[in-house]
Amino acid sequence: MMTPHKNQGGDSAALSIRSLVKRYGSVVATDGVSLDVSAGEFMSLLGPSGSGKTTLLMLLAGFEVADGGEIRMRDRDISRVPPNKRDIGMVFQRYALFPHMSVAQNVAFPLRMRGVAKADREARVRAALETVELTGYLDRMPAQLSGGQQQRVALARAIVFEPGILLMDEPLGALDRKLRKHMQVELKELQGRLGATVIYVTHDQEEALAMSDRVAIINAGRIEQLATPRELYDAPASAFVGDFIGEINLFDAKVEELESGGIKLASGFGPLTGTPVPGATFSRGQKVHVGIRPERIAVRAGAASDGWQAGIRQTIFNGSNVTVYATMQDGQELRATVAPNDREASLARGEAISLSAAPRDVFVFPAGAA
Amino acid sequence: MSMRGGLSRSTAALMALPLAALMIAAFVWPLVAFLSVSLFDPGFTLEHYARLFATELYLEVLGETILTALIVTAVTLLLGYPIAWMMAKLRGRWAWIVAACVLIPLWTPVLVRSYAWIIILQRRGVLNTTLASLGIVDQPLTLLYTFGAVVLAMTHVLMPFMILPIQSSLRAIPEELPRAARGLGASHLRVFTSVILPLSLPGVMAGCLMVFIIALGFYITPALVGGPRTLMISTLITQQAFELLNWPFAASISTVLLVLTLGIAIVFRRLLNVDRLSLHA
Ligand SMILES: Nc1ncnc2c1ncn2[C@@H]1O[C@H](COP(=O)(O)OP(=O)(O)OP(=O)(O)O)[C@@H](O)[C@H]1O
Ligand SMILES: [Mg+2]
Repeated sequence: MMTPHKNQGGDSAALSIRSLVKRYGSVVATDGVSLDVSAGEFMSLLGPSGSGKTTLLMLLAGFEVADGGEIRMRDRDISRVPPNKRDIGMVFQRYALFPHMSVAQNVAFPLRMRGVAKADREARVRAALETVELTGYLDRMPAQLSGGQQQRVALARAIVFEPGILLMDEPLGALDRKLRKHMQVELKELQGRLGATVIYVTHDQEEALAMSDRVAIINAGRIEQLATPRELYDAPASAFVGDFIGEINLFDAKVEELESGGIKLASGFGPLTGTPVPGATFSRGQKVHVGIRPERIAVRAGAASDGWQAGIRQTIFNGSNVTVYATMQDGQELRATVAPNDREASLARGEAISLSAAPRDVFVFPAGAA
Repeated sequence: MSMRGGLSRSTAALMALPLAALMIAAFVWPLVAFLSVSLFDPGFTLEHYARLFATELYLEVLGETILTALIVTAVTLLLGYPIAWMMAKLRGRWAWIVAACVLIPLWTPVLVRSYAWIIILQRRGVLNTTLASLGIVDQPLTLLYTFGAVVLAMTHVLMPFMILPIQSSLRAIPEELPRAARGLGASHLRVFTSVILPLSLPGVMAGCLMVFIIALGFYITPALVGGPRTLMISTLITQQAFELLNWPFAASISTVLLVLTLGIAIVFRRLLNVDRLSLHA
């Protein structure tokens, strides 16, 4: 039914954006964004509030006009094409269902606007509602539906005309946590089934990691990093990304020596060896940011000679693991996670421990860029 | 309506009591007393109603009044909708300016506004002198004391009653609805016809009803601007009551006007089922 969603052009970009800029007065909401989305890809835009996610989506949908740059869809420049001619489906955070139209009329709306004949229209509305598992709700008014159902109607309305790209701005933001989890799975499944190209805005990192093929981390109108969820976690390109995705210990250090195996660093609590992020160059004596994920820090009871000496400040049980809050020699605090059954999980406050981390798990970021 | 503030039903009723008492004493009671004059003279009689419906002149005036009210309603709607739309759209300083232009006339007495129209429309009035000095007309036009003048002046007086309810229902439409419609393929025109217009209908209905009903009973403006030849039903009532001192007959015409007004209000609500259209159905 919804075949035009299917990946048609091999690995050709369904959408490419070049140096897109949007200013609101002195605020640069989109600051030179370039991006390629492949057909059939699920891409998330993830970033803190006010970072420019919605603005980027509005530019793509054509509700805002860019001050510079270019948007191409399947090799057609659509930068100046009005929103009703863009072949883009959009799901809004608050669904934006038309309250005076029934479910069927809502879903039929984009078809009616495109002059699709009535018989064909009805069949396609039915098919779209079937896709989102809402058959039998044709004549309901939006006010008679639950949040999750409204969300599905909005989705059906956005896919019924088989647009080249689906944009979603926090489509699950208004749902409670449990329903949100459920809808994440459904949405992802549906996207796979349709082969739809999706650009998905969220500020929920878990959601972005769970659903996306790739995630663009947006900060202050710019893409900090565009990568698979795995890469974002294992190799954050900046301290910002490291901090934004998952848990991380961030602290300052100074470059002592550059070696082929890694950078030797001096920190307030002792020497350590780390791996520079790709693309950054460092020199001896430079101040840097260092990031280590809590689960990559090894904790040993007692004062071993080869680790960083520390004392237990607190241990907190999280269910699947235990977080150890360690006070380092210089007074700063690092978090490490250990398995609940480890001996280290049951250490008392003030007991001596030593921490260590493998060089590949110690990320070295340029200072000041966070 | 649910009770929000935690007031009990009886407390609320108690608080409404003074106003209810005032309404009954100052409005309902005189009205009933006045209307009963039309039926008891001194014994029960339908004589006055019989006379009303048997006299062609009175029926003609009634018809004319309804027609005038309809035309005025249509004109205020056509002119008022775009203004309401503008008011709903504008932000900042211009919003204030337009709102002031709509509201200031509302705070100006009807008498003043009607006299203003006389000054503009009379033979040697502002409009005629301007047209003459521009060489557009040789002879002054007869503008005052015409049906057109009545419609024009009534439209002006009643405009805010049309604009304000439409404006408020337009404002209640969430911004993302027209945006969504546009994104789903609607041209600007179709965004208007399939989303904005239907969602503003409750305001349109309220405005039309209000303007129509007020227009039905309009007195000062038609009397001043329309001159002696324009007879509206309210002029007729005044004539009977104060010039001919025929109170029972005046009361019977008033009753017909009241019943007509109520009837129209009810039919309006039934036919268009305003509640179904509202945003929070
Ligand atoms: N219409 C506008 N006029 C002026 N400034 C705007 C406008 N829209 C957005 N901005 C500004 O642009 C920046 C980016 O806003 P945007 O709405 O894109 O953020 P966001 O990432 O979607 O945030 P959130 O997660 O809170 O939705 C913000 O600083 C915001 O104040
Ligand atoms: Mg946003």
